[in-house]
Amino acid sequence: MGGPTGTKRKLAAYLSLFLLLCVFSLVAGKLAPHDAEFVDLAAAKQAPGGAYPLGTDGLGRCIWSRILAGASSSIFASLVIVVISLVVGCAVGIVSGYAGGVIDEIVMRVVDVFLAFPGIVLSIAVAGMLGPGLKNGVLALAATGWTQYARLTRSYVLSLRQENYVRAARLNGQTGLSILIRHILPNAIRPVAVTGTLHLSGAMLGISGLSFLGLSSSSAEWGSMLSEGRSLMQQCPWAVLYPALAIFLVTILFNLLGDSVRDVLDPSGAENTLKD
Amino acid sequence: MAGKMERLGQHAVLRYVLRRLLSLIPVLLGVTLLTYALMYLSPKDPVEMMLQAQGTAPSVDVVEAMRRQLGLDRPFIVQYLDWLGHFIRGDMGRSYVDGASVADKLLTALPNTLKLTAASVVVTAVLSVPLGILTAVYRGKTADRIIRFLSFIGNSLPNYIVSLGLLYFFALKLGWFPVLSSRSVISLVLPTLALAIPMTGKYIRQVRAAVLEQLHKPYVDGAVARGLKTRTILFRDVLRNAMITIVTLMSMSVGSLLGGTAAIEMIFVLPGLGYMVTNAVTVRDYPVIQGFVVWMSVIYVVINLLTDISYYYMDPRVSAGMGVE
Repeated sequence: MGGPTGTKRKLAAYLSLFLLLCVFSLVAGKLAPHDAEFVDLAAAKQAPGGAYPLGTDGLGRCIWSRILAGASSSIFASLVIVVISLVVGCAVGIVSGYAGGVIDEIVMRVVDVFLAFPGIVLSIAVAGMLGPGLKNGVLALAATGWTQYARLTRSYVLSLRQENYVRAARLNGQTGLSILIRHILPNAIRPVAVTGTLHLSGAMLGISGLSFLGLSSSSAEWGSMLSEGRSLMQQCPWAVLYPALAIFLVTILFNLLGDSVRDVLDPSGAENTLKD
Repeated sequence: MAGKMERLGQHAVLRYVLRRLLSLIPVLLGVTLLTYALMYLSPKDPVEMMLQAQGTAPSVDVVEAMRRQLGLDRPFIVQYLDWLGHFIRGDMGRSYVDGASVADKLLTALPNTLKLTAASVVVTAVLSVPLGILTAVYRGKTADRIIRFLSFIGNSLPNYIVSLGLLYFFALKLGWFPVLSSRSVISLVLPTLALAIPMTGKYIRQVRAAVLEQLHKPYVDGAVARGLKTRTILFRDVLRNAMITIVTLMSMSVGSLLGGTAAIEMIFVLPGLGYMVTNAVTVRDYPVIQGFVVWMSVIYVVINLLTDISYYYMDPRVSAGMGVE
């Protein structure tokens, strides 16, 4: 599948699409032709066309406007989930790996406890504690997401600590913090970037899944649009089709981006795909 | 001699199992502590929620009395240990909403989820293992490209979107399947497919990677050079070695289905565990959520343990190292 330049070119294409999508999600709400929350029962269940390019839902709300408004919550939420998980997880992993000893032991046992919750179960528990809401959904998913970064960076720090250039730096009298920043972080950044981009689509599906269950967002979010639309699926299938399409397309882009980041940064990283 | 060796091997397995079981204790203690703490730290007061759910106006006196009655005025650690003591004996408390025993609620919902999980894991395995092998063997050929494209699509579809699509075409438009779940087997077809399709998409790629990894090993070149048939090499050696990955994948898929069936159960109105817990979360029925979360984790870690033990029987290197063979 293409030489090194081919994979790089692919990455550049997906990366620019991704950045475009991020910018788009910030301004999408302003491009909406209608108020996304405006209820107009007289215009309910209209098929796509005319003033409503993608039709209206059971309450007469413009689906195109809601998808645009939902873009900011769905896409932005997945980015925030990844960023929070990444920052917290890396910080924990680096400290744990570098400190070693008792601290490392305790931190890893805590990570074990978090990993003992299967799939979405811990997110359901956190959502159950915090109550519904987009912010709470993000926290619920970050609560499960950070562990993979913690384990990853810890193992990198542990192996890098033994490298001669790190030992030399220590002999040179460099402090722990400067060794971390100047020698260990630059080496651990590639696998973290790969994990982070591969995490994006999971975060996207996670947040729309929680919203679909009514555990995350109540306003225009793609998952909750699906959930609201499904009872009227027979009469107005477009109320389900377009949010589903939005989730699907963005997830595909995230998956393509994740795969190509891995291909470029970590060509031998096939085993990473085994980890969920 | 062989008998002695075998006993030695069994001994090692037993010691390993025992060690792993012991290491589960702190993990499960942590799980229960975290689960209990989450509900304890929740901003909503359970007593007020409970009284509201039962239709009583919560006055300060009633709330205080109730709190004492339930033991919620005690320090956190006392409450936790008390709850844990009951939990271990199988008493998971009573639902705040309908007063029913949480253990009974879980046991009533469990069979539905179990059936769905078992069916979709089997379908996933039946689809993804042969397709994964096929794509690895015909790497770069048309079949490989088509299957990989479809698996990429499946991997990007969450199961609730798949189920809405299946529901729309096969139940509403064609009328082949019932829209709502009933007791019949046929009503399980769509929910099972909805869960299996995205998982299959994911696992085809991983089975493919596992088989490819084996195909690149020197022993395969050796077998080819010795003139063994491709089929023999594939089914006798490669598959056996790729089995570890495949079994890991299947047990992981059970893990992700624990709780992951919630959306499907909601869509098809299948009163399983996910359906129960989603409703419990919306009304903040903490004992039900706690019971669900802890039990799912227990099942999950036990499945992981069984998977690890099964390596001893599948990996010739491990068992050879212990003198079993």
